[in-house]
Order: sequence, then C-alpha cells, then structure tokens
Amino acid sequence: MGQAYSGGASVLLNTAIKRRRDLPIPGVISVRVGDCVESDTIIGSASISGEGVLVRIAEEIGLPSEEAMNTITVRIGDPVRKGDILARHRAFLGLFRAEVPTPVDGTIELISGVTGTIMVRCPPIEVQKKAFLEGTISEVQDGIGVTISSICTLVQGVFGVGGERSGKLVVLEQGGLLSSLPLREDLAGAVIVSRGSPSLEGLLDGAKRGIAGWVAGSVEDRVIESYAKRRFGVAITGDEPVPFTFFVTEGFGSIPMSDQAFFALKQHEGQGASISGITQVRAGAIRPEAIISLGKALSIAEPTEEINLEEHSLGLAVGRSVRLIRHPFFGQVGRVHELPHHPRIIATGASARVVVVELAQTPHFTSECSGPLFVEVPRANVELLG
Amino acid sequence: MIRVVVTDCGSTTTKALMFERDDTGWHFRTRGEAPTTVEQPVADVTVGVRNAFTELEELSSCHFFSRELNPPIETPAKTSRGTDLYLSTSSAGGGLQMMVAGLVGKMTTESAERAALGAGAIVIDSISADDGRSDHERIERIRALKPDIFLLCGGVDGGAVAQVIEAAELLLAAAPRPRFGDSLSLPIIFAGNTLAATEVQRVLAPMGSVTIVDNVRPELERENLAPAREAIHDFFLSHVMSHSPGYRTLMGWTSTPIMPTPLAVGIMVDHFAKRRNIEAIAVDIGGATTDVFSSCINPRNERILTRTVSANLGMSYSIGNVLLEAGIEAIARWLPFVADLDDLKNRIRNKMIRPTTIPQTHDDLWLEQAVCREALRLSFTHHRSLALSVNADDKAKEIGDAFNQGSNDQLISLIRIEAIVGSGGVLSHAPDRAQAALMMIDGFEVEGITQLFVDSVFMLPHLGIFSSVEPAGATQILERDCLIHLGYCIAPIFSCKLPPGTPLGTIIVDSGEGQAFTASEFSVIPLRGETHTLLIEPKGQVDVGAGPGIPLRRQIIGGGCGLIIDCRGRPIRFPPDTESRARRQLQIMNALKIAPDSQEDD
Repeated sequence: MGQAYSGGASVLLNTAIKRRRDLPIPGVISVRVGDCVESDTIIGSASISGEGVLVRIAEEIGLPSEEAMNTITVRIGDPVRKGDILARHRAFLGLFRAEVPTPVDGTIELISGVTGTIMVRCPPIEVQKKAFLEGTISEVQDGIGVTISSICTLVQGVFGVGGERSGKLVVLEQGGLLSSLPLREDLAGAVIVSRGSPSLEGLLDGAKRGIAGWVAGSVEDRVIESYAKRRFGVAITGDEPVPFTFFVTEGFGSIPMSDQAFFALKQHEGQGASISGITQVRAGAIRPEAIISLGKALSIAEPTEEINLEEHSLGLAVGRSVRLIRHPFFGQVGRVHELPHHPRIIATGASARVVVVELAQTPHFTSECSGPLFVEVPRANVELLG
Repeated sequence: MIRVVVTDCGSTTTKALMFERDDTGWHFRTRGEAPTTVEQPVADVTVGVRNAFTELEELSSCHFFSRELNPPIETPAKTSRGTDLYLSTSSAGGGLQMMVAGLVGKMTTESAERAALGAGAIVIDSISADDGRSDHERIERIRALKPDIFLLCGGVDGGAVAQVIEAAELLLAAAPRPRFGDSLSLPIIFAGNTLAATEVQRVLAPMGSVTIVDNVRPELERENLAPAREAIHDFFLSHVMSHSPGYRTLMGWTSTPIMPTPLAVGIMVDHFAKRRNIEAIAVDIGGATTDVFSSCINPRNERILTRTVSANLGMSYSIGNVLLEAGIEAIARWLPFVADLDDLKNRIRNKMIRPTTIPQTHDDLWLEQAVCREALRLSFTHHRSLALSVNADDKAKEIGDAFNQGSNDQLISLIRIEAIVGSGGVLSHAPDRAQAALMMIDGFEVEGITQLFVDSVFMLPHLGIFSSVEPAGATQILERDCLIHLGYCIAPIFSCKLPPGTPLGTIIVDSGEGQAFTASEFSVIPLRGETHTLLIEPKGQVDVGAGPGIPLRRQIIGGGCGLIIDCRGRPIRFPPDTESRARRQLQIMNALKIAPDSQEDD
C-alpha cells in the first residue's frame, strides 16, 4: 500500500546518480562515452525549424491574388536576404511602381496564387545543450541525448524560477528574513543558501550583487511574483527572465529549510554547485535542484550504487523519515510510527488513510510536550525524505 | 457472478473501480486509487494503474494481476481472482489537447470548438481571422503550444476560399510539432468549406497528410459536428494514446479502446437527463481542469448536450489559476472567518505545488471549498458562453447577426434546470454532503427549484465507458450507487431593490402549515426519505420557476440536506465588510449544520 503514495523532494549525500540530458529535438551529440564533462560542457546541439513569415503580396501591391502572381520575382526554394525584392509591379508606363521586400532572411517555401501570399522560412535556430552537472558520459543515444554519471550531493526543491546556472555555494548564516541587508559585496556569481523566507528587498539586493542562484527554505507568494514579474497559475516554471535562479525546498510562506537540506548544502560551502529552478508539478515531474559534484570523475567500469530517484523515494514504511506538508504541521519532520490499514475519520470529518508520525523535536518547531509527540495525518500529507 | 474493473487515469490520480453482477443486478463494490504516473520521472501510465489495482486488491481481497500472463490481468473472473472485462478512460497527461482555427470567431471557430470539446478534448487556443491578432502573433502562439491535434475549419460550403487557405498558411508557417513523438507529424483535420479542401491539402503537404471530413458549419444556420468528432476520436487512439508513455501497453490490457474521460462523463450526463426528461447540468471539477456538461432543450425541442472544459481551472495543479482569475478577495468572501489574504495565497500555492495533499483542518477545508465555488462560477460562465442554440432561429441569419449573438441565443436558462450533478474529488469526497450542496448552490447560483446530486465516489467516467458494453448495468449502478441525492434548493428570483426581510412568498409542504420566506433568508426545511408535495406561492414579481407571482406545485423526494431556501438574490449579495461576510457565511453553514460546532437536530 505504501507504494500508492509518491515520494518527496530528495536530499542525497555523496551519491552516485545517473542523469539523462536529451536534446529538445533530434540533433548531433558532440561527446563520447567516457568523456569527463563540466557543467558548461556542450554535449550536443540541434536545429529547430525557423519561423515562417507570411508576406501578403496581393495586399501590399493592391492587386487581386491571381494578378499578383505576375509580379513575383522569386521561386520556391530561393534563398533570400532581408530587403530582397519578392514582388515588383509597374503600372502606367512605369510611373507607378511598387516593390515588396522580404522582412527577413530565409528561404521561399510557399507561393500561393489563391491568397497572393509568399511564405519565407527563417533559417533554423541552433540550440545547444549543456551538461549541467559535472561527471562522466556513461551512455550516448545517438542524435537524442546522453546519460551523465556523477557522484554528488543532490538537494531538490519544490518550486523555483529561472533556468540552469552554476556558482560557488555561500551559506548565509543569518537565514530568516535577512534583516541585515544589504548582502555582502563578494557574492557575484555565487549560489547562496538561506534557511528562511527572503524578503523582496533581499532578492533584489542579490540581483544587484550579481549572484547566480539562491536556495531558500520558503518564500511568500507576493515576494516571488514580484521578483519574477510573473503570476503563476500553474507550477510550470524555468523560463522566467530573472537575474538569478531561485528555488525553495519547503514551500510558500515562512517555513525554515529542513536540517537535512540545509546541512547537506552547508557541508559543501565554497564548492561549485549547479542549480536549476525549472519546476513542473505534474506527478512530481520536474523539481528544482542543486547538485554539487564531488570532483572525482566516475569511471563507467567502476561498480557503483546508482540511485534511481523514483525507486529511492517510493515506499512509505514504519521507521522512514517523512516531512509533513500540510497545515497545521507544515514543514515538520518525523518518523513513521504506524500505518493503520483502514481509513480513519480526520478532523475535517473526511475519511482518509492515515499515517502516525513521531515528530522530531527541532528548534524551529517547539512543543510543550516533553516526550515524543505523535500526530495522525492523512498519508497524502506526508512526503518521504530521501 | 460477472466482474468488471474500470480505471480512469486522471491528471492527478488513477481510480480503479470494481463492478459485479449478482442475482439482484449490477453493483459497485469498491475502489482503489494511486497517483497517475504518465509523466516524468516514471513516464509510464501502467505503473499508476497497477498501484490502483494493488489498492483495489487490498480492499476487495480479489487478485487481478499475474506475472505469468500477458496481458497480466487475469480473465475470466473466478470467486476471488480476475475480472471478466477491464476497461479504461483517460485524461492523464493533460488530456487530449487541441488547437482549432476558423474564420469567424462567433461562427466557424465556435463550431470547431464545440466539435473538439464534444470529442473530449481541451481547446488550448482558438485562432480566428477576426481575433484581432496579427499573423505574427498567431504564428507565435501556434508554435508555442504543442497540440495533439489541429482542427482547421472555416467557411460555409461553397463560400469564401481564400481566407480558409490563409488560415492553412498560418499553420504551415508555424509548423508546430506534436506534444508526443518528436518524429511524428502533427495530425491535422480539415472540416471547413469543401471547395477549399484540395488547396488546403496542397498547402499543408509539407506537414504531412491532412484528414478531410465534412464541414462543421456547412450552412450559416446548421452545424454538423459528428464527422469531425469521429476523426478526432480516431486520432486520439491512433496518435495521441498510442504514443503517450505506457499507453500502448495499457491498450493491450483493456477489453475495448480507451475513451477520453470527458466523453465518458458526457455519455452518462446525457443519459441521466434523457431518462428523467429534464434539463440538467453536471460538473466534473478535477485537479487540472473543470468540465461542465449541460443537456438542455432548444426552442426547436431538440435536446443538445454541450460540454466545455475550462482547461486552467482546477483544484490542484490549476488551483493557482483560480486564484489569478477570481482574485483572493472573491475566494475569501466565502470563508466563515476573517483571514490574512497573504496567508490564504500561500496556502493555495502550497496546494499547487503539492497537489495530492488534502485538508486536515476546518480552515483549510473551507479555503479549498471557497476556491471550488469560484472555479465552478468561472467555468460555468465559460460554459454558458459556448452553450448556444445554433438552430434556434428559423429565419436565415445574416453574418452580421452572427457577430452579435446575444443572450437570446443562450441555451441554458438556470430557472429551467431541474438537476445539477457534481463530480470530482472536492464535491464527491466533501466530508459532509451538505458542503457539496452549498458549493454547487453558490458556484452555479441556482435559480428556481433545483435537485442536487453528487457522484458518490466519482464514478461517472467509469460508468460512461461501461455503458458502451453494458448500458443496462451502467444505468443500474448510476441509480443505485453513483448518484447521491442531496436535496432540493429553492432560489426565488426577485428584484435586488427589495430590502432584507421583505416577504417573498409561502412554502407549503404536504398540505401542512405555510412557511413564509423573506428576502436575504437562508434556511433549511428538513425533509427526510419519502416523497413530499410542495406548493410554493410567490408574491408579486417573485419567480420560483413558473413565472412572476405564479404558484408552483412539485412532487419532491426528501434528501440528506432537506429543502434549502436560498433568498440571497441573484447574483448573490454579500455584506459589505469582511467581519459581516464571515458571520454571514457562518450563519449559512449553521443553517446546514456544517459548521464544526453546529448541533445535530434531534
């Protein structure tokens, strides 16, 4: 039954992972099995078909479509450069002259006598794919993508903005709401870590310092919307034009980062980290993450304990560490104490399958009880800590 | 004994239901569910299906899977093993996502939308020659979205050709790629002016083959949606389903082709309304989308099933869109407590990023139910804008009229709607059925006398596909186990100028003593069990369904929520300040006995 519930954001220390890096569409892979790659190594490239630009010749010249065909000076397949003439019309013994230039570089793909239109296809757009994480190429799928093996520390988040970047980890000890603004001046290019919920002023100050990324415990909805200058209807992010990548490990509001995530990052302070804010919350699809490669290139011949993140995170069982992810225990962590088989009636009156969790006593969540504190919560409201 | 297992692979969860026939007919037995796994990192729908089966096995003590078999589901059913049939519906992975294009937004493009929606699709955008966008903007939009199928329409038969070809040129210029299968070409259906078909095929030849079907709008006054819908359904199975992660395997397990979830729900809603000979509305509010169905009679006495999907309104993945579209103030007005608006927004966002969590405090429950009311309101507004009587006018309609379709063409009159069926987790699994009734009353702003139902455990999609093989069995389960009759709501229509406390009329139940109802009142008359005779005598211009001031007599059946008298007016009026609003909501909840400290009536 435990397998019916999905895992949470992973925190993995010194772990061998394999990561697929696929081109957006089939293209050319430029690395080979066994190659060592850095986060900014180009692993391949692909060309995406350029946009088609419609030039309404008949409309521009002021002739019916069929007649406009007589004015066209190009043929299908001709390459053209911006400004080249597509159609030329002379009337009244040459006194009236009209020319239609192409607004873009490209190739003529369509000439329509029905609509009097020419379509110019712009040149293909080249896109390059970077490795993102440091490691060894362990598999190449020709034209499609590669698999990179790496020994690393991985901290996943729950919501982020901004794409893939990298920089040195700097831990801000003050955490909280960063009351001691402004930030230090030597943070250009850094990925900073704070436990609490940064203010908008803090984020803007980070942008001013030129930081590459920021990992925090949580953030207020209004702060992230102001920072990203975007309103989020669904949790699909990553292409925001933000000055640095930002993600949170816990959620929205003022929830401190879990000890597990914070100390995983803190132990690598000063090391390079790859960070991504890309989020797609559908069946836990894509999570924002910070990856710190441990520097020793992984030999593909070397047997390793490689982690399949999905298998690793599935399986609610007695003794496993969990994070509670719903009010009123949001952000607290503990261990599974009991998994009652039959549904129970919870405080709202709903019937749900529950888990009994023994809460961990942390400085952030104080309890008046001196002994262990047990809470019964719906299974849907816990997340496994990997 | 015959046993059937049906799964519905939703965007959030996969629900497996077990039906059995014994000497007394067909019954729903039990259900299991698990997160849907169609997307990364699992990217295989069958994992979620197996997990849902696992829960079903635990709860039913039946065993369905066998590693030795291929397909792995044991057939036929024996005492505690296997199933005779395995069926499935699906809306996972965002459902069937389509773009449509036509010439005139209010005519061919709307017909194209109705064809796509009726086939169970989500329309991610509609392109029209008159949509006010430049060619460049339209091309950008088509490129940015990755539809599963493109439906190109435009022009009545024998009408304009050039503009239809221009629409095809836009599509060629954009050259969109399909969502699944990078090496595949995008399926394109042309259902426009037949004179343009050959040229459309020529223009779009570089993109692959174009399927030509009959025009969705052969004449200004006539729609012909069935051929386009059939083509969409064929593509759904051959292109979309078979290339979605894990679906090729799943298709090998099922006894009949997989059906889009909304199509299956639509079948049951139409069946429900026809059997009772009433006009009805149903809603399926899911995690990512909200589907609204109406089965209504047009002025030619034809029954028309309309289905719309609000692709960005839902209770988990899309809950943030409800927040954006409605605004936090509109959501907060339904709460029985005064709340910090920033805190509410954070809570809604946390649901967005952890979509499978459920409320475990009353405050959280009320917040989700407040969001639900707004999602219902917004999606019903969208539905009404598309539920139109195309054939309503006997006179030939000029093109100019078509641009100015007004309220006269609207198919839905709320005061004629006799029943509303609510489905989807937030309604079906509300801890108290009266909460579901109140969400529907508020969200739809029902008028006149309306009977309220909920789908007990969200089984309309399962019954829809089951009805394709065993219609009588589906009907039996619909009536016995699926529809929970909540009660009736009487919402009189009266002038907004009447002050609170103004007498509006009298209600007499079973020839008993008359009970007056007044403006602003919200009260409940408990009516349990059996059939009752209701006589409502409205005063003056007050209308309860028979016309202003005209008495109405109706046989009704008592339900768990009783007879709800809602005299808040339409649109519903709220007290001006937050404290009074919260108190008012608490009074309403107390009337329904759904506030936590409400006392049960002895």
